[in-house]
Amino acid sequence: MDAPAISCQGLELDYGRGSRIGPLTLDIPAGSCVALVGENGAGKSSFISMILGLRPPTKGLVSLFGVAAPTPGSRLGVGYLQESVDFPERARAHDLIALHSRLTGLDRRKAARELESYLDGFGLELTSKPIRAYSKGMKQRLALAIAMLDCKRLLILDEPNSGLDPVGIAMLRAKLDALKAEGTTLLISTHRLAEVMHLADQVLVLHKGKVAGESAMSDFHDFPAFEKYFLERVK
Amino acid sequence: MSQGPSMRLRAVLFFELGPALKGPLLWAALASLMILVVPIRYIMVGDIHVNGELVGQALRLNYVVAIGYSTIVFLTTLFTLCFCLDRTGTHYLRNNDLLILSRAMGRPHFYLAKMASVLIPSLAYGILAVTLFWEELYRVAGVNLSHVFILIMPLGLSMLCLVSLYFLMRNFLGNFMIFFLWLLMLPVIYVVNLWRYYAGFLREGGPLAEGINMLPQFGGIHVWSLGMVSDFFMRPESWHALANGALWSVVASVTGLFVFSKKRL
Repeated sequence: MDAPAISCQGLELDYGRGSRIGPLTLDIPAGSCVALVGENGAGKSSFISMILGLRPPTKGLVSLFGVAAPTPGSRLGVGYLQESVDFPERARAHDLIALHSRLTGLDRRKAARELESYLDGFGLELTSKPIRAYSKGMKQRLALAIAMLDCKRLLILDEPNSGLDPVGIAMLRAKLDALKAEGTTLLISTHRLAEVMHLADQVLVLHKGKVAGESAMSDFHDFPAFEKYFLERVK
Repeated sequence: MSQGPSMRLRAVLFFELGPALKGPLLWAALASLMILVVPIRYIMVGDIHVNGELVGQALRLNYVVAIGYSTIVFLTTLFTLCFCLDRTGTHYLRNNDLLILSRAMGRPHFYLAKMASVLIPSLAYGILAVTLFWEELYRVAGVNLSHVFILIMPLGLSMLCLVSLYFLMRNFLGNFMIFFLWLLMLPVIYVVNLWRYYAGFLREGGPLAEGINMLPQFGGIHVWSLGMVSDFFMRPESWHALANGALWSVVASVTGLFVFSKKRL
């Protein structure tokens, strides 16, 4: 049997002063699409940080595809989009794409040849404009382009729709559908329930740092039923 | 696969070096090298009389070298501090840095790449300053003082000491607080070290001198290389500053790597 894409065993993060996340014990199967939902401050971003090894947990273990998460090798083929997107202002889009291409081990020449069409796929142009001249939506598109550079195994998105216009949202939806069809595991953290309903197979509700609900998306026949389930879990 | 981590380290290093090569800091640093030319032009050229007696070139050279070395160390320290501030500014361990770390990039590699992105341009600047100093002495006064290149070794050590300490502090403090602490510390570790070696002050081994011996001595590290140029500056105990700088660099680098690898980002 394949190892789960994400496996958490008794995962806890203690902030001190009685504030903590967990304990969380859960498995996210490879190839699935999971919506991570919860109120502000529920612990979604901290949970993602622990998965990616950015925050060592106080207790417990995380593994990605069977490899312990603190090991850098466990994050090969893993893409990540942060909640707040703000790049070095003097950098240019192609500098960042070139950097992340090299970090993911992509062939430099091939990446350079395909750069223009790759950026075009995200509605961005190959210009010498520094990132400080970008709008919030353009920065979000660039962050998505970076996250999707190498996400063969797992893509973790934290508020992916933030700042995107309707065209951008449609573009993102099409790309996520394609990745799902290719078998990439998707973990999408969002406040916008309607956006994930059509895409996710499973929903995970976090409330005050704990799993308050876990259900298959097929259990909800329409959006009001999904919304009602969510509101009941976070009451 | 074995080349993976080093390739990723190089990728981050080249990206971080970008601002050093195209930012305004480079031009400011290069323009500041003009200061080095001034003492050579004014002290080494023409006749200087003191109490009616002509001052010889050998004595004048001592003053020029002492001023020149202090200026090179001061400018390089200033430039390195500016670079530390720039590379660990508001974007440090935010956004792009977190994206880099979320890739298959080990924390030690990231930390070393960041440190190297400050050290490399700082050292290049120091080497340029030393070369300019040598060239000006040769061109203006006809003195071929090739021993000045020995300064590069203690200069590199002092930069390593400063950068490793800065990055260690950055694990705990914001840039503003570190800058404030450096302002407090620099007169102590820079000026007092010079007094300690040359003014006779604090050299008798009192409790304060013992305390100063233990501080990072990157400000006084060039005392040793001054002794290599002229017997006038030779201080037998000046190698203590080198040993002190090397020890602080190792301790700060190892502690910094350990703390950074455990840090919650």
